[in-house]
Amino acid sequence: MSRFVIGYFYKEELNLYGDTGNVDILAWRAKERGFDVEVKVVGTGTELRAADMQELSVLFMGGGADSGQKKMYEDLINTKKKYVKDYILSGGVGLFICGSYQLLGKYYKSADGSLLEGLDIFDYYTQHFGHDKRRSTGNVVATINKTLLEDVCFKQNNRIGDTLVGFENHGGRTYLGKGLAPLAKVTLGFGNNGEDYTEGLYYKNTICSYLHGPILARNPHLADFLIARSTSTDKLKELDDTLIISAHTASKKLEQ
Amino acid sequence: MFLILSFGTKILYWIIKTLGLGAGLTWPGHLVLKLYPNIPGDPAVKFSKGLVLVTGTNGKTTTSKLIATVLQKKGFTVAANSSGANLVNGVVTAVLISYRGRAFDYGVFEVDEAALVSVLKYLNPTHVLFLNLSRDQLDRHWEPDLLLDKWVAALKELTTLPRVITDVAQEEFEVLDQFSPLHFSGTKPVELKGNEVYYKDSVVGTTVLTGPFNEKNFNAALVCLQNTGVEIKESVELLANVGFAFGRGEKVVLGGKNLAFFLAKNPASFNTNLIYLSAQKDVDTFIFVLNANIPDGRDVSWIYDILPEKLAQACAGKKIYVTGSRCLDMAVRLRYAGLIILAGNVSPDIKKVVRDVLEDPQTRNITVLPNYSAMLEVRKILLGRKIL
Repeated sequence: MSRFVIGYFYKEELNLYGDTGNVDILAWRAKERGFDVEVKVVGTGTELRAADMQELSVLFMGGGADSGQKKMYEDLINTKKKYVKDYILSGGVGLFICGSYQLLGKYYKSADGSLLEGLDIFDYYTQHFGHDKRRSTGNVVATINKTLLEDVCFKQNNRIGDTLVGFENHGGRTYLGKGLAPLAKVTLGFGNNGEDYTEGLYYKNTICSYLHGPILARNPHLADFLIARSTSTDKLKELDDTLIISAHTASKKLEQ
Repeated sequence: MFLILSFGTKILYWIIKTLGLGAGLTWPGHLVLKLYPNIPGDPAVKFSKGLVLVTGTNGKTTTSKLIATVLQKKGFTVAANSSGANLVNGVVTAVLISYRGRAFDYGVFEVDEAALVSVLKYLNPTHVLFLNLSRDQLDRHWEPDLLLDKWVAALKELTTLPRVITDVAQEEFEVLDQFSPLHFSGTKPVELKGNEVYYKDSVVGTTVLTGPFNEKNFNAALVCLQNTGVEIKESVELLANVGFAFGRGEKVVLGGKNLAFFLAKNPASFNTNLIYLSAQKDVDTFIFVLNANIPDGRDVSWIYDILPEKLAQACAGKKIYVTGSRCLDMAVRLRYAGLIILAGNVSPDIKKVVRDVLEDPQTRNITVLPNYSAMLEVRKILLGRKIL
């Protein structure tokens, strides 16, 4: 049996909005396809080696409360930055939600003007404009990036269509630099910044997004893309997704 | 002015109840606050002996019920929002409805954790009981840390600092230590049987209120009551036969079937209920009811913080029905916990699902796990009334 290893980064510190569900869902769907699934939790204090990164099928990182982010930030910058950066740039498969998405950019400027440096892997920044500006909260429907839709691992396993659904809840607004592609374009909701309709980021095999729900719960096509790509399988065995497809369809009719 | 408003509210409440328009426990207060924003400062809204506010994520309704019951049984006049309408408007409605022409001895109100700050702008309590704080309705409250900061700031603004009571086991509550709080749940007897209640390290009596949270709720109420001058022994005696608050372990027999309601509105309450339910071997049917209305929080992501192994354990081999406006999300969550969900048992139509369950000859002991607005709907369908 082939192994399927999920590297769950900062499980304790970054798990505010049910994002643990993403790891459970990946594990479940991979197991159903006969993979030997293992979840490796990487936290503050875990000593990483290059070999640990090489055996990862998917790297997952969620978002956290301020206190949680404070606890893991130094550890990430000081001991894991290089590994995460190399992993992403060399085409490792990864899913980064909300707070961790913000951390991969240049910086996060908080409401009081203070600057938190990011990993600077990508040319984007996030700014919080203060509590007077409306927080980006609500249901989201978005149209998936065409390149991703046409990717063989996505296309072959896609029984949903070209939409993503979820729930966003973020104070910071993210602005992508030129040359970066969003994961999707919102048709309902704020997305990255409430201005340019972009939502998330898609780069090589890295998916970044503001969507909770958790994102993989009602978007099985995205979950299967991550599994198919990381295991180099074009077409995964079909699962009985009747309920999940209904849940996705029903979500498209929700109000923001 | 107060008398007129109180009289008006009672009439309005009666009309709403009689016509079945709702519970009538929030919007009379809402209306009155618009007409007469100073109402909480009115001399009639006085609590001559004490004003107790109970807040936290879980246990508010039960704990405030215990405290109010003891004070009422001791003959005091008590204003309380025992229905669980716990925002500013609910508190005002409760005061107006229970007004009997003279100032109250006590007020005992449960207050929504995010509404505490606005309630403290109107009222200066003598006691604030902080039960616990965990994730609930993050789209409304944002994050627990932010809430704690707001509580501290609001307490500091008060003219007279109330007696703060906290659960010493909740690490997050350390920031409240600056108010020299009284603690509950600090020590407890090594061995505690299901129906025993304790104070410090000794067993002090028994209760009919068994179940997951109630051990702490009971202890919190005793500590608070003792500080208002009621001896532990007396409180325990007065509470010996006090049953569940509505929807919190409440049991009902309907058409020869036993129904039990367990409010499951956030990961902490869900997980605790599941641990309790895993041990209830006679349960044969579960009805999960999930809504995402404003009082529930509109984000359903939290259902993935329900521990999958606990779900699997409690539900293994039982019939499962799923309803509520977000039934499909719940059904998917249950499936990812490894349970088999029949598509025919999933429908947003709560009435239909309830009928199916009651008509099914194989169901006998039915456990209903609804979140907040879902519980009101289910109760309305099953019992003809939303609240008490």
